[in-house]
Amino acid sequence: MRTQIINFLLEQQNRDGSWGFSPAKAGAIEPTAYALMALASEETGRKAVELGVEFLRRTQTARGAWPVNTQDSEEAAWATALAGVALLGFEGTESMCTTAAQFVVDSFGRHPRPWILRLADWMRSFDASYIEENRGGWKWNPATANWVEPTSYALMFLKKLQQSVTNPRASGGNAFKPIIAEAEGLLYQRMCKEGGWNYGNAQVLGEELRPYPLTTAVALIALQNASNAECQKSLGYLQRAVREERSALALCMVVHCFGLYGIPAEPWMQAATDLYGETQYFHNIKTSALALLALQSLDGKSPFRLAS
Amino acid sequence: MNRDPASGLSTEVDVNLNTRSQGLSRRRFLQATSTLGVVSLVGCAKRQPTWKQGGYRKPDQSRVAILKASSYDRDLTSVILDGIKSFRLDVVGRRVLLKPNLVEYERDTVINTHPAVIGAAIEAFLKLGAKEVKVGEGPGHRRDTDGLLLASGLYPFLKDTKTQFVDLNLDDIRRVPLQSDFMGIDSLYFADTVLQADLLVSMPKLKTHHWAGMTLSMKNLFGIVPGMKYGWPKNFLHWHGINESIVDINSTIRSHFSIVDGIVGMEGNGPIQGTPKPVGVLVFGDDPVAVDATCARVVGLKPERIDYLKSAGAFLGNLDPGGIRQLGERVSGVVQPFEVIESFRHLRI
Repeated sequence: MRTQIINFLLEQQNRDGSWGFSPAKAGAIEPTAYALMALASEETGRKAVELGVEFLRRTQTARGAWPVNTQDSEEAAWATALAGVALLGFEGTESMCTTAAQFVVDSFGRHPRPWILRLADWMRSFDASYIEENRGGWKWNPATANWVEPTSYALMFLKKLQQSVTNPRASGGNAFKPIIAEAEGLLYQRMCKEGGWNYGNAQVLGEELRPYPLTTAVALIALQNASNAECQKSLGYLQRAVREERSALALCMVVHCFGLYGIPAEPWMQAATDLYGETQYFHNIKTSALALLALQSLDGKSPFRLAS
Repeated sequence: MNRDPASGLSTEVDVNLNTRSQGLSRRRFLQATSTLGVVSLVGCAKRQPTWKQGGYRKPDQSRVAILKASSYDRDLTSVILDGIKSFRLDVVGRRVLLKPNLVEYERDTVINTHPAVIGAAIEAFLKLGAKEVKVGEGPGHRRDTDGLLLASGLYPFLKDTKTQFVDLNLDDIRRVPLQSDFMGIDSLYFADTVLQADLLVSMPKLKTHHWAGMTLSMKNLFGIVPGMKYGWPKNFLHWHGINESIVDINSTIRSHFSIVDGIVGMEGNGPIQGTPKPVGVLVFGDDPVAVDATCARVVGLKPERIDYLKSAGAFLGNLDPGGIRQLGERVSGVVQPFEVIESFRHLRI
């Protein structure tokens, strides 16, 4: 499967150096970022990686960001964060990463609230039992709510960058610490009752909602805190839920997540491999790249791994 | 409009329930009064939505067919062929895109359009001479569409008929000017596969919806709005108003035909956590407003009280029974009143 996926990724790279979500689709930042991460350590991928990095260099906006794909003009913080994680793996991309981080930091925010509700929040804050519910994080779109996935991608990028010794801004150490702490607080707040995360609503109209394996794995990768009780609870959920998982995308992300938390992941990589035989991952380029990353993670390699 | 911080949805109901059931602490009093203040302010400043005058030709008479189908095990292809043939639908040589409702998968629930109905529709359109049939959906909550295809049981039907599935969340995208102005924005991106189809067929599940009242052939088009651009959930649409978004999307991208899976519907707290309710029908039509209005009547609700239908009935299609010619079964012969959550009790006939 490994060779087949590498060949598939090499064949499906667009002429401009990008990858779309599936063959012949317009270049999008998310599959491009994952393809770059996956091919970075593959000898046969060197030329494709150069083209891919050049694509990102060419399409980064003046504010350091990227839109979701080449057919969109609006900058997106979540896509920018993923591009940033990918670029951190390559030399000569420091300034691109720094400006990308600035955009991601500038995009951090709380839910937009009318002034009268903000006034009410302020009045409620005098109540001793008051808990700030409107925590900062990242959105899929400006002027909407914060959600688990975009917040997780931004955390992955900023935490990795903060640890990067080659980055002059981050080498100071704690530049992003306050917003990282608040965004992590948002993730813990949105955790489902049984542990784990869905897209970001633990309850609707008083009814508990169920977590999903995919988003749980993404959030746990972003948090990477094995000593935290909520992370442990969510890992417990994930170990139970993965047994019935039928999504290759979710399985590959779970393999990656388990690798970062020291949990044996081989059975789930096998399940993902079996699905490849059955569906070829529906020719989804992001899933294929994540499968290659999952295979690499079994050898201990991961672009998301934070120094302990 | 007051919004729930997480979903971006109106929270007036929650606040009212809280204050009534738990007494008025200082904190709850402040919550309630601030909410009422905002609701009043927004109410005073409410914008009058508009649509292109003369841009729509609401049919003088719409037709909706209700055909009985007692279970998913019977020959659904012939029922769907009968349903389609009731209309002068030009299928020969055309590229058909079936848009089912595939939101989530949870065992023993009826969240999604049943795969047997989708499989039967694929067969029916191919038999009628379609050049190609694709199935496309952009699930609103989950990004692992591959898992949904497998877990929901749709994949074997696609494989057997060699039908291409397009994840509309990850498709190429194109910005399209909106043809009405309920959301207060001028354009939205849509999945390119939808724009290229000659015949867009909306195939919803017959379900209640805890924010919109019902989710049917018009709400189903949320799935043609790409998640890649608008996220999971498509929170952008929620923040611009669910009812408003339904109307603007449908005024801009018209589904040419609807097939509603009402063999087993969902009542109560739909669209995810409701309860299965057998109704035993498939509903067909070429006017989505008329189809949705008819479905609402089948489940014992007044369509003219459902916000998005009220708006759409003014210019997009027929809401009034006088403007709808009923084919197949009469509504009165198949009515199965649905339970609804408290905030939608006023919809009941």
